Amino acid sequence: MSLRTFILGLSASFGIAWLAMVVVPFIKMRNLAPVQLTEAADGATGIFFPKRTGRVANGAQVYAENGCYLCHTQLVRPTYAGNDLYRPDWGGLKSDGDRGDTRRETNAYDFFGEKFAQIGVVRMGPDLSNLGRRVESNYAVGKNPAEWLYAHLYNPRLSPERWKSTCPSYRFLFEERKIKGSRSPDALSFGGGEDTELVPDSDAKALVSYLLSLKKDQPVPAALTFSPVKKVK
Amino acid sequence: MSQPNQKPDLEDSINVTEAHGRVVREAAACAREKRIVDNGIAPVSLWATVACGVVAIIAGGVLGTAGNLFAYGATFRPGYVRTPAPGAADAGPQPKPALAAYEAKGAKIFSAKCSGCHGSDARGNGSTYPSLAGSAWVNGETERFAMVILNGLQGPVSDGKTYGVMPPQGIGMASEDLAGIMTYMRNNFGNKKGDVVTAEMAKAAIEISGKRAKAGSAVTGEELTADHAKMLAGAVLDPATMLDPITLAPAAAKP
Repeated sequence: MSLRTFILGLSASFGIAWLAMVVVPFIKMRNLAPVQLTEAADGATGIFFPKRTGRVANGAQVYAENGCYLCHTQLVRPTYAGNDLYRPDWGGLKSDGDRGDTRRETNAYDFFGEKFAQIGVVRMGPDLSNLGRRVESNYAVGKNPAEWLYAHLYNPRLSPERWKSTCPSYRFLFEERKIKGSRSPDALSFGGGEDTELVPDSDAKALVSYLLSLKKDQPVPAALTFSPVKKVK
Repeated sequence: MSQPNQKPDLEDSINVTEAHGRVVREAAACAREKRIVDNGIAPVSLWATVACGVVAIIAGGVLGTAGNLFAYGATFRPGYVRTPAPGAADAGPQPKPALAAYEAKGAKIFSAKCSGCHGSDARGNGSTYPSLAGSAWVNGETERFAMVILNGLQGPVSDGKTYGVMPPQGIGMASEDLAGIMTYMRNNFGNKKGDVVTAEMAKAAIEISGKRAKAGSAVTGEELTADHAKMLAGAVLDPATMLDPITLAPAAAKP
């Protein structure tokens, strides 16, 4: 085999795979047709746009930079692909006070605001699609949800029920510094000592704001609703 | 005579060319038998072909049944319907008695719309906002009460005094919301009617309100007494019936 044949064959085998698995999906998914809401089916008009509050763009960048997507997924799969939907508080809340069962699959429009959908690689830690909802409803009831997340990032093994957590510590996103004058409003209640305080830096704040914005259980238009139960009139 | 033969294998009688030819032919036969051919290209053995064929058929089947070959626009399998939750019976909030379910809706509307003027204890402020606690119109006929809520009120109220002008609250109000606020008012803040105004009755009230002669303007005491001093039409609901708190449809009690 000549060198030319070899190079051609190498380029073809990697190139065709790259085109089919990376380029074509990227081009198609970046121009998703928005879903129109219809008065009859959805009771509203306009375009389906799930809103998120928080520093989504900055936080998504910090999330990617720290490799969170390597162990955490953000994809609640349809039931033909797994039981993600019914795992406790992954797809939404089983019995939310106002809306009842809010669990739903992830759809492509859930990732608006981020540069790319960080659906994850491997699930060594729990799925994070509804982390904001979980922290506010379960983990940090009666306490500050942001502080719960800061504690997790600082030392994931801090709480006894997570003694086996394999999440690495992101201590480097925090700063322990001397208290100048009075305690900073950002200072965390754990950490710090007599005259030092533990303060998250801007990356940590963006990341926690992003994580708290992860609430992907809003109602979806009829086109994206796959529930078998029709509304009882 | 001459020195002994130093190449004992090679005798005069051996034809070297013939010997070489014989060796090469035997080697070629051996090579053919072992299926080794020139240039090193070997034909693939049958078992490898069959094994790869089986793999290819399985892979093709998986790709084919996936439904969307490279159709990335469709992110869900066509015709997908969710399989119901395991133990689906206990998903969603627990059913509540009808009174509690309607009151829960009404409580939210009260704190959003009514308490701003009538006070968080519904006692008003004596001069501009009448008290709803113990009010004859709140506790009396449901149609009259509904008209006041939907259209607002001008002039003297049930106790004869004139307060301010009440703005209409009916715009965008759904029948479940109207039923909720009416049930809530009639059963709280000292009022103890004990009955439930159902969404069906509220729907009738909204229709009546739309058909008024002066639709859109505030009602007055005279109009209420003349036209609307009656109970709304609709099946009476036992306040203890278990309802789904979200849809307000009857639901069996969950264990």
